[in-house]
Amino acid sequence: MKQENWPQSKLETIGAGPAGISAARRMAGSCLDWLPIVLAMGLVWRRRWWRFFIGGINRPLIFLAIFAWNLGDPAATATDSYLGFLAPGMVVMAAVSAGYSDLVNWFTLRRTYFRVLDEYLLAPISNASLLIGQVLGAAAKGFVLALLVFLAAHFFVHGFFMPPLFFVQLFVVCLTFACLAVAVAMVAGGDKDTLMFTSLIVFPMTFFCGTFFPVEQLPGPLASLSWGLPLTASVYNLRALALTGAGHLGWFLQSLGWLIALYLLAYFLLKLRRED
Amino acid sequence: MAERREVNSSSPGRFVEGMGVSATSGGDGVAPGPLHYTQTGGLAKVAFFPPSWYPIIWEEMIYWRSKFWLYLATYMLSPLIFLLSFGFGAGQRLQMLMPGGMSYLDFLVPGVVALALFNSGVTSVMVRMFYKRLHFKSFDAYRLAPVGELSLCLGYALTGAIRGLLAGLIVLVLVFLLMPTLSLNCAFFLAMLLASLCFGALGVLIGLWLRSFDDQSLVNEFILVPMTFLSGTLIPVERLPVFLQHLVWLSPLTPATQLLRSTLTTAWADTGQAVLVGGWALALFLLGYWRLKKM
Repeated sequence: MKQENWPQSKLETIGAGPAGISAARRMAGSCLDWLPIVLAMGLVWRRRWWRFFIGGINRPLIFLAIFAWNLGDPAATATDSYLGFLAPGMVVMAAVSAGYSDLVNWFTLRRTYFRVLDEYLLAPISNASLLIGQVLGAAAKGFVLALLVFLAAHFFVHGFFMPPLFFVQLFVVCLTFACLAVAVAMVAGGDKDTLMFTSLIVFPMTFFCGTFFPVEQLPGPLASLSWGLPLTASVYNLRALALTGAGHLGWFLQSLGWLIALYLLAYFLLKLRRED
Repeated sequence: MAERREVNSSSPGRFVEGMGVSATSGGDGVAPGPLHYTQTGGLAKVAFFPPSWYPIIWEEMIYWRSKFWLYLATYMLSPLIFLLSFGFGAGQRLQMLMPGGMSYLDFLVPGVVALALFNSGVTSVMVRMFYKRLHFKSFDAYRLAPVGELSLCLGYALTGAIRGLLAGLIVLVLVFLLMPTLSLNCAFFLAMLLASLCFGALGVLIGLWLRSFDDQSLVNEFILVPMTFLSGTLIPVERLPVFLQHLVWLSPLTPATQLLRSTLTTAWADTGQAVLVGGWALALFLLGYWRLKKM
């Protein structure tokens, strides 16, 4: 059923006419193969956006509020207060939790509960399109929620810079973790595995990669370990961008490198999985 | 199934007849004639050895045995994260002072213990009941078993309490590793016990009330998460905005946290809070029982 509908809906979305599909259009079509997946995610999102909103931003916002109330300084400015330090960390936390967790949940639910994951994997589109669709859909969600947290942070502190590179870096973080989510979902044998990976690796990562406190405060080996994780460089770069307006090219390249590495990993695992 | 067979082989006659008793009476204290066990009254059926709620706990223990390391790691992790990132990372850098002049770390320790009790107590029972009812659809097997509703409720609440207590004890061990000077007293452990019973009962109530996966995420994100962090665990109630100060007293976690904190700072427990937690426990348990009877 689904597979028969799939190309049709794809043509509709790119506006192909009823007759005479030209070669050029077919090419354009295969370039936009990923669009239906994003749209499908968007449909789900439209129906229950408030649920995703609350689920994605409640933790970062509560942490931010707790520190704001605990410190009790209404005139805090971003550059010289702890809240200014914390806010970019919370933005990243929202991005990761929305981008990563939503996608992992999406895969897990479709595999174990609705049992339709294979239908998605059998869709007549290329590996790259499938991957790009999933990753873009999830990353867009993460990006929106992270921006919401950033806006909410202005409520507690003011004086943030918003250079364009900030948003680029934020989107890179979202993409990176969406790729990680696909990779995990492709490897994991069951719910338990993904749950374990999430709660033992990804969840601690959102706390210890410089989000709450500088990683230099961690004991020696842990600090260098933290720099070896995909999140730390991005958090530092985001913070520099938000607090001073100028980024750090090395950090940006590092997070870009992580994105490429994880994208390739996810692509490879997806390919393996589809060949089964 | 497996545990029931094991129970039968260890004490065959008594257990089977014990189950028979609650079957004929429906578990709510109406004594049927023929079996001589019932002559001691309603309480004997619940407190019978092995009591009819025991298999539920046994089942939990079997889970525990097979997943011991996973549980240990997950229970250790999130309190450790809160202690490190709030207490040692940010809290120490900022030297935040709490009402009453204690340091933020001293303030945080009972809060994190309460958080662990609450999280693992409520979530474990809730998720387990919910999966049994809606995903595996095996909850009816419990209802068909000759076990009364009271025993069922009690068994589940106790599993939650045990999980909560274990998580709380793990946190205490961690706290001792990080700050060896902490002094504990008997009242603290009693308070932990009372609070974990309360949270187990809350878990049963929520687990019985959920209707779908959506409900679960709804309850989790809208109610449990804000409740966990705002009920005096990471921030003193006095520092919340005014409307929240009143609102958080609607959650059973608030008096539980205050109770745990009072046992650590003073030698003896705050009686008012203890009564409040006990009242919550009783009310939640009775509500859960009522809900199960209605089902």
